[in-house]
Amino acid sequence: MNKLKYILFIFLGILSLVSSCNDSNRSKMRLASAPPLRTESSPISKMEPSPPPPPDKTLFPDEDHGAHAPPCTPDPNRSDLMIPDTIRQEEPVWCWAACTQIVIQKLKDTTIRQCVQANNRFHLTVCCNESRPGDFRPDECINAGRPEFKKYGLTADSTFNKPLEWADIQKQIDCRKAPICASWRYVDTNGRPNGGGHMAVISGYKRENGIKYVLILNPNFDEPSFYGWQTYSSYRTSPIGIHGDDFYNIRKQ
Amino acid sequence: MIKKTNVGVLLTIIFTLATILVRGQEKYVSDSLIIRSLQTFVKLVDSQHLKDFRLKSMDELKSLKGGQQFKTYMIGLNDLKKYQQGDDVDQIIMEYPVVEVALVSATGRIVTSIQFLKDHGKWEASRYGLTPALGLLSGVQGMVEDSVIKKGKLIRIPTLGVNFIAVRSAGQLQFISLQDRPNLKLTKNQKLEASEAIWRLVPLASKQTGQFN
Repeated sequence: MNKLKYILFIFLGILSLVSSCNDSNRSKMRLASAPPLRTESSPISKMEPSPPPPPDKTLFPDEDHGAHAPPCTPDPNRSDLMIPDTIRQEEPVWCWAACTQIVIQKLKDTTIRQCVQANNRFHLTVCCNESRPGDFRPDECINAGRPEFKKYGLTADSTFNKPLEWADIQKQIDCRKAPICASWRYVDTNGRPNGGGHMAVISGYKRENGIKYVLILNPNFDEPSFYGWQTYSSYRTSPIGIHGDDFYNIRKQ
Repeated sequence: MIKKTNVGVLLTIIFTLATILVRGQEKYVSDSLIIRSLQTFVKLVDSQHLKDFRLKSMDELKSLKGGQQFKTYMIGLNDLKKYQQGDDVDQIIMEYPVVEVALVSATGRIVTSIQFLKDHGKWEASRYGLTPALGLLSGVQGMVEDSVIKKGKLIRIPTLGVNFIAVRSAGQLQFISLQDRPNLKLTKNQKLEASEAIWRLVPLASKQTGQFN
């Protein structure tokens, strides 16, 4: 009996070894017979040191801007702001403007067009000039950016290259009824930032079988935005992106 | 009693079979994990969000099966900015330990997907719901041959919102566009040399100075 257990133990060990070897080989796999692709490796541990972050603004400083709100204990298991999936990015690089538009629509029940935000962000006046379908916007409008809530009657706090804690997300969504603009910076296979990043709206959370999830409304250019339930751990960091700035405590001025 | 030599032979056979089994399939995530993850997906999606998840009904979600598994390949913004005409595109394609498994209908149509990350050597579901790249791929099913989708790699350039299927033909890496992008002179299902496709993106990439795309 002991021998059988011993064999089973070795067998399982070998299987896991085979599996990891195989992935290691796959990571070196190439498109057919061309030179090697860059391979995956420990994504986060080799990150270049970031500049020292500025001190984080206190999360939920109720004494500052929530003093008159009644105390609130968020639902520990689920909450959803039920934001409709109707807004798409007007340009492929305007996730920041789409997120801002989604949040403004939710909190102020009004719309600020993304091209208006681009005009304001880049100090231009031509980003909304679409006289005919198929016209291209001027190149100077087609740029990445970040939300400017203040210009549209909202205020917000932000983290610095850091995710929100689970309890913070619960309070934002269930107590403040406020969506969060979360962001990630794309990294190379060594976990080093490789230019650009993405921003999406968090509009809900849920705990299922002991695992924490956030509901992410991911703005997109070609089609309406994509909803997805994402594990809280992968919201914090993933092999594709490390965490960027999250905008929270978004509220009317 | 099992002799030690027999145990060795047995283990060798098991090892060989397991190697063939795992390497012979273009699979990263096991069927059992996909089935378990689909059950979690059903629990996560509320009926009010069905349309947002591009689903007709819970029954539709429950009826889906695991389809093709797409390893994540990306080209970074900084690499695009540095790209010179004629450079080898293979050198800037990065492969990540992230797999997106298409969830398909009985007819093979991509309906939605589940993303898996490798954590401590183990695949784990990390995201439930279609991603833009697989959404685009579902849009070209029927337009691009199934055999091309099956043998191709899905290449994402998220900072410009551009996606291609990469295939190799006569030793040349070629990209098939999944989108119409008039300003980049790209049309859906257009096949072009990978180096030409990337070269068309460089001017737009070079102008990107902001943080979030």
